[in-house]
Amino acid sequence: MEMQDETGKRRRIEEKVSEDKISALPEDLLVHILLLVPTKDAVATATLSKRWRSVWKMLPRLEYIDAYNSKSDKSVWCFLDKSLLQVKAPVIENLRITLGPSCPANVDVGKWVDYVVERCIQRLYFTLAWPARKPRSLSKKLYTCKTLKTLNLSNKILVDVPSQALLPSLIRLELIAVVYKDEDSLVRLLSSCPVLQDLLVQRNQEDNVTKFSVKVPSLVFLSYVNFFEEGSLVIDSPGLKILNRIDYSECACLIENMPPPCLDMAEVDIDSYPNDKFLTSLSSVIYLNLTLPMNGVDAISAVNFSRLIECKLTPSNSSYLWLESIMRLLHNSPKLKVLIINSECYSKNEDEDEDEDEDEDEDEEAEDLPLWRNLLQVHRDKEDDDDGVRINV
Amino acid sequence: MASSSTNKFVLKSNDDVSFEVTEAVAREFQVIAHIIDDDCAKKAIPLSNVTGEILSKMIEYGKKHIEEAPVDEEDEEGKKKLQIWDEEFMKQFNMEIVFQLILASNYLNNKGLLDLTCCTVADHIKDMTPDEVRTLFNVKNDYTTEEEEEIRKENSWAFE
Repeated sequence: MEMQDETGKRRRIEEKVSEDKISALPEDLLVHILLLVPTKDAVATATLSKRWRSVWKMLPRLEYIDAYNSKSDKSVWCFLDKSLLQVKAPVIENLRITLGPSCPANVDVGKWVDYVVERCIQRLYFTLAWPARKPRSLSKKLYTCKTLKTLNLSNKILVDVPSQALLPSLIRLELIAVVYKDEDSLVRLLSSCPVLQDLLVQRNQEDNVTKFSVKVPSLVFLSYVNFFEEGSLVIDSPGLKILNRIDYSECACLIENMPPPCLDMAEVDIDSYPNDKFLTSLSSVIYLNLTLPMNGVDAISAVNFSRLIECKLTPSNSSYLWLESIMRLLHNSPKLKVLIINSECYSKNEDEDEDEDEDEDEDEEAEDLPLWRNLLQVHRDKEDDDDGVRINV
Repeated sequence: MASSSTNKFVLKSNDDVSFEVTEAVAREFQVIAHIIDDDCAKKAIPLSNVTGEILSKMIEYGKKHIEEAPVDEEDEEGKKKLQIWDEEFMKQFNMEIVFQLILASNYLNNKGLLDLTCCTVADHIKDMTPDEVRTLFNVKNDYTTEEEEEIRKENSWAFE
């Protein structure tokens, strides 16, 4: 039963247990129970009695999370610094550390990393959310950890990878707005992951990398986000099946060494006109979701999509070549069953267009074709049958 | 798998209470599934660590999770329904019974029921001061004042 008292604090009314049954449980069951409470509460059980003093130290999953926004909050780092090094679990399956603005800049993050690498860490999520501070490099031992399966590094972390780096078990790598010591550090990191399948990247404006080169033969899933004008992407991963790319840079994306059929799924949101090589590498997709300049729609209509079944297009600005382009896309995609054109951005962006002349053209076009302001869905029931196209608006 | 709905097994508690269950329900408990697979399932399967009272509740849980199993991973409605049933199911027990269920579901290896029962205990530790936890579970503090102070210092953040 749960009741709220005047201060709003939770109180549970329970009949009192006559015997201490909980302390009689075997240690593995106590650990099982403590895994279901926040790390802070689990550590607090150390004071219950001597029986409990070390139970929490066997926890294989721990979380130390600072509140992101509140500056007045005391940081968990002090508690983390004292408690993490007491953990005795033979394998740390999961460790999540998020240090916020109230954490002092001189804390020894390297010491923690060294310790958990020794304790066979499997999944590490490390966020340094320090505003306006230099990025910190972690211990080099991290990059030779044999047991690590998932690694997430976020924010003010300097990725400084030694030459002998090797992460033989790493399957998923997430690099969120981190800074690289140099381009070689990134190359070394990626080439030290022989079984890497998932790579998630969010670029930082000043991450010391001009050309983000993804050369990972085992890679299956790549998510790449770049909100900045600078920075190009090169993909040299012949096993890639799923590509998510949000890229507002003016630089090209190059795809190398990709013999079709390769990609199954692509979600792409770009601001600039896509180059031919990139488009050709998309030709094997079964599912395609594209947000791109309207002239890009014209470009993709020239590609033969031999396997494409579902396609969603969101033109981010307008043009008058759309109908021809769409008909050509339908023609070049014999298996296409569903085509969804979402022109929500059309009316939103046209006012912002800098080119006056073009603006006039677009307005005329828009008046002629009001349905383009809405979501357009084209369904084709039979393959390669342009006459059988159903249009739902 | 047609046989698993028609095949019957008898589970016998340590206080000699027998329950006839379908193979599917019996297989909800990993240990019993192994006994069946090893073809060691004679007339009645004796369970030396479980009382009839606890076993009947475990079978009730097992049956429900067979009958109302979500269709697939994406069956959110089915999952939700079962979750609500789980919550109601746990409300009928006092802590004594909860601990017996934890031990029994660990012994018979039913992960769902083990998680559910452990969760009930965890809910009584979450957001509680050590004093409150001690009172709830009748844990005797055998630390000296100095020892307790030392541990509090060691993990100061946890007590704020």
